Amino acid sequence: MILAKAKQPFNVIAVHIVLLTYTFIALFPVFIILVNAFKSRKAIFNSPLALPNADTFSTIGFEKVLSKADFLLLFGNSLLVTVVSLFFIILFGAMLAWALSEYKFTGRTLLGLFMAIGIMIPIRLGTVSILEIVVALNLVNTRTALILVYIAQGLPMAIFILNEYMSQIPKELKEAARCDDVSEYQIFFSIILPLARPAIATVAVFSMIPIWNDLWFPLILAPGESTRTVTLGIQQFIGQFVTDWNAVLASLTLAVIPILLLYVFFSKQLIRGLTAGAVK
Amino acid sequence: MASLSLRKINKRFGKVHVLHDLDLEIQDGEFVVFVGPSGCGKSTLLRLIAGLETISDGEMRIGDHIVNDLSPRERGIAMVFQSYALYPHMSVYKNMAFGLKIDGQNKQQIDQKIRDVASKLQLDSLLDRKPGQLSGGQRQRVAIGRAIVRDPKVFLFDEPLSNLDAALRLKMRIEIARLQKVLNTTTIYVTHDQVEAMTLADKIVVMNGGHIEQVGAPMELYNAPQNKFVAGFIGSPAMNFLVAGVSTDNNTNVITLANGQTLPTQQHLKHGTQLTLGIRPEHLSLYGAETDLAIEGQIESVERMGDITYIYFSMPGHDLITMAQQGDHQLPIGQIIRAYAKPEKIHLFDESGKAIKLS
Repeated sequence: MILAKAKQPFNVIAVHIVLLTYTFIALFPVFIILVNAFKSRKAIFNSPLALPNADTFSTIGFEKVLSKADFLLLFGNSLLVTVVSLFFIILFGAMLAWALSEYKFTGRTLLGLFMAIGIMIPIRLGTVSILEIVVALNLVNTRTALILVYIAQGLPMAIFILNEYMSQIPKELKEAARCDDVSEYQIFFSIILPLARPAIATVAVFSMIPIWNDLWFPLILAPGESTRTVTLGIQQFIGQFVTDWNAVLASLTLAVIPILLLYVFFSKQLIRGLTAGAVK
Repeated sequence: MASLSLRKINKRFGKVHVLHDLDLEIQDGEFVVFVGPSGCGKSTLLRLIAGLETISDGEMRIGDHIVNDLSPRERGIAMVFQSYALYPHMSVYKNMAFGLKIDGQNKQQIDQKIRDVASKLQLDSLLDRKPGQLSGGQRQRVAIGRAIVRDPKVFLFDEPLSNLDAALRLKMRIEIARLQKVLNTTTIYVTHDQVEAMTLADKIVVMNGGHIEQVGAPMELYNAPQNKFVAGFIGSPAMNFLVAGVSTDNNTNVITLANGQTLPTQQHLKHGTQLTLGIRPEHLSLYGAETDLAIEGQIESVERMGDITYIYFSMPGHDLITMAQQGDHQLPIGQIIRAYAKPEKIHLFDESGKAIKLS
C-alpha cells in the first residue's frame, strides 16, 4: 500500500515530464515562427529566439502578405481543396468501410487488402503516372486534380480506421433497423454514420493535415496562378538569392489559423474517438 | 394478428445443418415460447421467422401468405432484442418514431401512437432521454414500446430478460404477460430459462440440437414429457434419473432398480432392456407407503429456503439425487436417508430416451 502510494506521484511526474518534453519539441518550431513573424527583418537575424520588444516589433510581414492580391485566393484554394477532399474521403471511406464490414461478397478480403496496401505505399511513388493521368484527363492546373489525388491518398487510412470501428457497432442495431424496414442506405446514413462520429473525426484530423500541408502535388499538378495553395504560394517569398523571411513567417502563421479552427471543430469528437472502448 | 405455420423448415450455414425439418403451427393470439439449451437453434429459428436469416428449405406462412422471401417489415413482425438494440444517438421518442417515420405516417398520428404506448409502459417521463441515461429495465421497456408502436402481426422476443437482474426479471415477466393479454398479439418468445417458459407460455416448444423435441402446454410438458430430454429440461430443480432394467418375475416382466427393488408394469418389455426411471424432486418424499418406490442414499448437502428444503443425496452409480420437501427440515449431512415416490409419479424412458407408459 505504502509503496503504491509513494509510487503514484512519481509516476505522474514522470509521465508529465515526458509529455512536456515532447510538447516542447513539437511546439518549438511553431513558437519560433510565431515569435519571428512579429519581428523586423534585422531582429530575426540578430536574435532569432528573442521575443519581440518595442524596438524589434514589426508587422511588416503581415502587411506584405495581406497586401498581395492573391492572398485570399491562396487560402481559398487550400481551404476548398482540403474541405472538399475531406468530405469525399469521409463519405466514400465510410461507405466502403461499411460495405467491407457488413456485407459478405466475393473479393471482400481482396478488396480490403488492396485498400490496406494503400496505407503502406506512399502515393507519391506514383507521381509520374498520376501526372500522366491528369494530363490525359486535361485536368492540369485545376483544383479538381488535387482533390482527386487527395481523396485517393486519404481513403486507405480512412477505410482502415472506419472499418475497425464499424465492425464494433452491435449487429442487433442493424437488425432492429431492418425490422423497422429501414433501407440499407438509411441504415448507413441515419444509424451507422452518427454512431461512427468519433471515428469520422479521427479520420478527418488525420487526413486534413497532410492535405493542407502538402507542397508536392500542388507544385506538380496545379502550380498555376489561380490554383495555387497556401504552401505553394508562400514559395513566392523564397527566392534563390533573397528570402523575404518576414513575409514567409507571417504567411505561415496565418496558414496555421484555418487548420487550427478545423482541429478545434473535430477535437471534441476526436478525444472521444481515441478513448472509445477504453471505458465501458 | 395472425397465425403462423412452419413446414419442413431447414436452415444450413454452409455445410452446417442447424435446423432439421421443423414443423410448427402457431394460432392467432397465442403466446409461444421456444426453449432449449444454448446452441439448440431456438434463436436461429426466431431469426428465420423474423426474416433476418433466409430459410434454406421449407415453407413459412404468416396468416395466408407465404413469407419466405419477404422482408421483416413486409412480414409484419416486430422484434425485441436481448441487448435491446436501441439507437444510442436518438431519444426514446425518436427511437419509437423512427420506424413509423420510415413508413411515411404523418407526424400527428405518430405522436398519438407513441404517447399512447408510452403511457401503457410508464415511459411518459422518459421520452426525451437518450438510451444511455436509462436503467436496464427502462431500456427494456423502450425496446418493447418500439415494437408495440409498429402494431405488428407477430411479436418476437429474443431472450429479452436475460440482461436484467433477478428482481427486475420477475417484474418484467409479469409485465410482458399482462401486455400480451391486453394486446392479444401472436407472440414468439425465445428463452433458455424454463421458468420464463412455464410462466409465460400458452404453448412451449422444446428444442434440442436443431430438432423440436416436444410442443405442448406447460403442464402437458411437465406431466407427460415425451422423452428424457424434455423431462430433464422442464421442471426446476431438474428431474432425477435412475438406472433400471427389466427382469422376469413369475413370468411377468418387472422393472428392477439397481438396489434390487422392483416395479410392476403392464407394458411388454423385453428381458434385459436398459431403462431410465425419472422422478421429479418434488415427487420424492421422506414418508411413504409400502407400495411406494423407495430409494436410499447418503445426504451430501441440504439447502434450506424456509418454505422448501432441497436435500441432495448420493446413490452409487448415479448423479446426486435431489429431493424437494415442503417446509423446513434440519437434516445432518452424512446421514442415510430414505426417499419415497408414488408409482404414478414415476416416468420411464427406453434406451433411446423415449417415454414409456408405466401402466
